[in-house]
Amino acid sequence: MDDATKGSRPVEILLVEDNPGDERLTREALKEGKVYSNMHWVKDGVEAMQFLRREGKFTGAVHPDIILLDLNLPKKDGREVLEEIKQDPQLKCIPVVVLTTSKAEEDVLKTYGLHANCYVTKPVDLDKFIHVVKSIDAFWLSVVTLPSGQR
Amino acid sequence: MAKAKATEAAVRTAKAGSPAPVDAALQLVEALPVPMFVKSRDGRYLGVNRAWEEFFGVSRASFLGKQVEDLYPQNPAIAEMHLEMDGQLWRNPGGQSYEATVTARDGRLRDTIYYKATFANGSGEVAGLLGAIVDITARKQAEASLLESERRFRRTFELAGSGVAHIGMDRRFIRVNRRLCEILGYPQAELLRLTGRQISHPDDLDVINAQRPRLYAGEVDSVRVEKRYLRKDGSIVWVSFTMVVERDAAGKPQYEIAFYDDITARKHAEAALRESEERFRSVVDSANEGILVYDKQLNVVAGNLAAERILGLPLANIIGAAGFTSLLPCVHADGSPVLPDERPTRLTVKSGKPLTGEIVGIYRADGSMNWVSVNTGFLRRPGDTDWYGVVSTIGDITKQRHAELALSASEALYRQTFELATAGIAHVDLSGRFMKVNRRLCEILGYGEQELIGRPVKEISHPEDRNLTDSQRMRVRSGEKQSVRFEKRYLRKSGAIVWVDLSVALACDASGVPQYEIALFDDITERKKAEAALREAHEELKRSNAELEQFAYVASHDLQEPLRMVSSYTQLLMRRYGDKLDGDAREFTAFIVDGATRMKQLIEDLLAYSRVGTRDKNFKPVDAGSSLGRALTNLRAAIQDSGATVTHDPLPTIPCDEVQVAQLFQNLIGNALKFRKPDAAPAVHVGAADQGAEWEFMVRDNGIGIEPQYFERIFMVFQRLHDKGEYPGTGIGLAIVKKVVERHGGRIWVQSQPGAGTTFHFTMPKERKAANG
Repeated sequence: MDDATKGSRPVEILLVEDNPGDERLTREALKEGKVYSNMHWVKDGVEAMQFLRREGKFTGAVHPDIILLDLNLPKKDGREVLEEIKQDPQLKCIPVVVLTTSKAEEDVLKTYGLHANCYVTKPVDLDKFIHVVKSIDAFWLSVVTLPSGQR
Repeated sequence: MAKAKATEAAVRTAKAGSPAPVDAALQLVEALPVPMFVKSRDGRYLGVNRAWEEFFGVSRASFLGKQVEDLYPQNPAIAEMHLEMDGQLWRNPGGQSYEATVTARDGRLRDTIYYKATFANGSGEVAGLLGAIVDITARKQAEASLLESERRFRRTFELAGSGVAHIGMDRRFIRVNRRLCEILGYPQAELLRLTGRQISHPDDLDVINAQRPRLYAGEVDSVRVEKRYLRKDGSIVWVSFTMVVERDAAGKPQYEIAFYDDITARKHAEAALRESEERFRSVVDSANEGILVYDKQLNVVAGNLAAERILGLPLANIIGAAGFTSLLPCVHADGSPVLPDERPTRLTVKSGKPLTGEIVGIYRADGSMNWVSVNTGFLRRPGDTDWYGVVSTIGDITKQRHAELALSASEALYRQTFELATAGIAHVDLSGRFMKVNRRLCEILGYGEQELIGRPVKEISHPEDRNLTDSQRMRVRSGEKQSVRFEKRYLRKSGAIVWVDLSVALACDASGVPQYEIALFDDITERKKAEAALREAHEELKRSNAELEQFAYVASHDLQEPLRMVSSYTQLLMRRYGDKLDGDAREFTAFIVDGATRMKQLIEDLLAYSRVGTRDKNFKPVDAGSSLGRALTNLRAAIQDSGATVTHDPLPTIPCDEVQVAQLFQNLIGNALKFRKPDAAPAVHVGAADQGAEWEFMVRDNGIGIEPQYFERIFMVFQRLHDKGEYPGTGIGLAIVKKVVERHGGRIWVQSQPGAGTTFHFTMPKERKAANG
């Protein structure tokens, strides 16, 4: 992180993930990758939508800068979440990174005509995962450096 | 007596005057054949000659001294006439002659000429006369008969029924009769200025001239021709013309005598008769039926062309025979031979009644057999009660007979078929009731024949199928279809359901009016059960396949998470605390990570394999060449590294999943690159051959080859022939290839020898077809 970003606020990340192991791993990866971030975690699709719409216990929730979305979720799966986000004018501009277990899941989504901004296959290799998380940071930087009018 | 003495005295006295000259003269004429006499001045007969005696039948001795009155005691007028003439002679002496008819011997009247002359005595006084009688009776008679002949001729000529003409050597009419004028329609005067030729019909000009030379040469006495003349009014008259030639004593032709008979009416009648006969003949000849005419002895005297045709014999052979049954072997309808007494003509005569429709089979000379229907009838002349002949008509009924036989054979066959058919058959009337059912149908429906006949078919239809039946039957009844075939259910008497494959067609009469329906019932209950079972099994299989795929998918997916935890946290552990661990610990953790990585690869491959079947089967025509290109792009690095050459034939376009086919090529070529010989650069060739309904592809390499016992095994999931160190991989590649090929409806096999390279063959249908997977 250089000073330019340090001076700004941290990246607000919403992680939609039911597996605590992955949640921790993501958190560790962000730490290992030294990403200046503020990660919010919800465990299912219903909570994710509540968070995004600041409903219920999420009334005061922040507007995330990026969503990391797992596909296999209880109650409401990632595919539905993605569909709702992309149909909501307020939310559709938020970049969504879909975390998939396999390449097959990506194909399924594409088949349904749902396009995430990015697909990331959850790697078995930690170094690769850290690299991915770092790329989120890089991606964020490119976004925040843009004039707000072009966002 | 006294009188006789007185006569004698008178003769003496008369002679006394001139006895010598008279006697002398009489002696002179005694021998002449002409009757002669001498009379004295006082009229007494002084002498006669023998001819006179003959003529009158009177002896001179008895008559001398008598007078002329004594000669004609019965005819005083004759005597008076002679006395009168004598008186004239006495007054004017000299000669005299006159004709007189006198009574001669036996009272016959004779025509005579009397020649008389006076003679004188010595003193020069008229003493008497000498007379001679010339009998001209014969001449008179000849004259009379000539006259009569003339008269008769004239009458005959004039009144003849025939036209008659005398024709001169210049061919002009010399003389024509009234009748000829009538026949030719010319007045006599005009006709006499014409020649026959001038009024001949133009077509008959030389008919007579052609005959004349023979007539003139004397070869024939007369000629007779029939020819036409043109009457003055222009109408045509047919004439029978007979001509003789009249010659003089020297035989020189003088004129021709011609007779003309008007035969126009006859000619017309003949023509009419001929026409009528021709008409009749043409009717007879054009008749389809053979006609034979028999005489009283029942021999054929006439026949027509149809008879020839039907009997197969020339008419000439039939004429004179005792009918065709005597010429050709014939049989009755039942096949027994026709005996002579059973010939139709004989039967007719025997019974005295015409025959109708007598069926006879004829073995014709050419070996074929004709069946005929014979009718006979008697021939009678108008007004006659007795017959003079028999006519028979022979109708060729071979075709009908064959058709009848064929029909009855076909009916028998049909009856047999109907009864023995393995299908149920029914005739259903137009109101939908069973009219006729066969045994099999009774078995199928479980009803007795009598229970079915008259029963509406609908009653035993499955209630849910009645509408279907109605709508299908309507299609036949409306003429939309010749027949319909559909499957439906019936209820057996027991209440059990029987499935039937039903065909319904309409039976119509010759004019197309529907008579009844023919329905064929095939019991397909067993088949239906089998089908249902099969369908169930198929559904079950599909479901279980889908479950399996879902299972594989979920399993491989869910397996990844714990695996990732293991590997990620192991790595995190190493990352954070690696410097606090010794060499062994680091080595162990490395094994943990490596195991997790391989496990992930296995799971990924398994997932890929299961996904082959879960993709949409939306095959589109794809150029196999471009799929190959895509595969080669993916393999670019491997190709470059190995120095391989990959060649290919022109490849066809096939309906397929492009991604999968690219995967297929990629896996096969990838294998070829992987299993190369250590000492040779890989050479791979992709070929395609047209095999009719499908294309056969082959991927040939020059690699290490495969032992035959592994040809099956290599296509199984996770089967590997080599250890990982030598040839890395999970052993899923060919399993995926096989699954892709089979999903496209193709087959795959391998040809190889260890060390001699490997060729994979697979087929792809040209048309898209369904296949499992």
